[in-house]
Amino acid sequence: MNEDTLQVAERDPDERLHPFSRRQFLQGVRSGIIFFAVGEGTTAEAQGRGKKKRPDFNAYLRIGEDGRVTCFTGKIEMGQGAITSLAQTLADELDVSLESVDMVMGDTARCPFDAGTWGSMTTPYFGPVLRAAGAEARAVLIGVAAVRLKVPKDQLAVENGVVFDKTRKDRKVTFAELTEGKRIEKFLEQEPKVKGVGGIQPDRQTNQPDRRPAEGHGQSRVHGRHPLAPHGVRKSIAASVPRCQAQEPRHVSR
Amino acid sequence: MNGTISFKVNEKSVSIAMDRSRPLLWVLRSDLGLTGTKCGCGKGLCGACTVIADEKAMRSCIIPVRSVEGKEVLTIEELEKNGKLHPIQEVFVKHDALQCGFCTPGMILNAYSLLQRNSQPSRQQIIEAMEYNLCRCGAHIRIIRAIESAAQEMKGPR
Repeated sequence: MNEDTLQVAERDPDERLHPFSRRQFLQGVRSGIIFFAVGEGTTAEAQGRGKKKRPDFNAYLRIGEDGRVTCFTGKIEMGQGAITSLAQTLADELDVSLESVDMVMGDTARCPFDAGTWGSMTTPYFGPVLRAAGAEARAVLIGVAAVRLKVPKDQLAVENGVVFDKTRKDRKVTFAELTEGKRIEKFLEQEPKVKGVGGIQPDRQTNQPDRRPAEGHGQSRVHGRHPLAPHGVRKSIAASVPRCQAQEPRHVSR
Repeated sequence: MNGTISFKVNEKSVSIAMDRSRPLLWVLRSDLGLTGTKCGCGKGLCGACTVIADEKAMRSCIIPVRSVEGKEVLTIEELEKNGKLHPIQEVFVKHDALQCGFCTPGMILNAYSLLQRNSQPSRQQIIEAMEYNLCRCGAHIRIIRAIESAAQEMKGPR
């Protein structure tokens, strides 16, 4: 497998994620080292797969054909603002606009495992994981763009999901064009370099904190129409989620 | 306990057959789809369920629907008119008087009721009137500031 080729297409059944030769593969199976995993690769399955110690960043993000970025997290929104802060964090690492990030939170079929949202732990413990995922995805996509544009990697920059040649801005390719909405089957050997730690970063030009309030936050809550149940929960499991206060109790105590 | 209840909600007349001992909160939320009014404690202690009935602030989670027979009930949804927020809603947004927003409908309606009774309350009077509306996120100081600001803007009952 050519290191510079981004395997975004459906997996070659002989190669999968592991660049073994057929012979190595069969020897591995015989000796019990390689387990033959059957089934579709879902984002949840992707987490922790492979011989890397880092989780597969595809578990946390997907870049669609339309350029929209979907962030998958086990954390949930209960009014504390994680739906915004995590989107800001990922947008910061990937160099996409905040508005292009969609959040899927707490969906046990699609999101990585999470022990729960409590203790003010989302930012310090999940933040770095999400940053590492975004940083690795960005670095991988730059690497592939470098091959496609025939430009050295360090001559490239990213803005709003567009990778471009710093010396010639018309030489560019978008994240959407690179991923075609599929999983990114390429990973870094080294640790990805994250841009920051924790949540929102100061504006790197002015070093001033980004004080933009989340658009429409107060607006939607003063007329009571904002849905306050956990976000991104599929209808099939919505009943079991803490919605007991949203529905009338079956008993009436007197 | 079954029967028919007739009353007005947000200037619309409703008449429904039901168990008349059901808490008003659930009639509003489940039967009428007015989910702006929240269930916080279910015991009348937190104020998240506050609605206005015949110009009086009421804790809808502990009053049976039969007690609003023939009355006019106002919920948070009614404050906004033709896409324009009520001054109290405006100041809550302006002063960032909320974080998660769960207590907010109750806060706003209780403040609405206060300003109907006393259009120029002192800071202490605002605190006393809002005493039993609880905010777990801790936006109390901004809420008081917002209500002071609303009193200034409104200068008289709406």
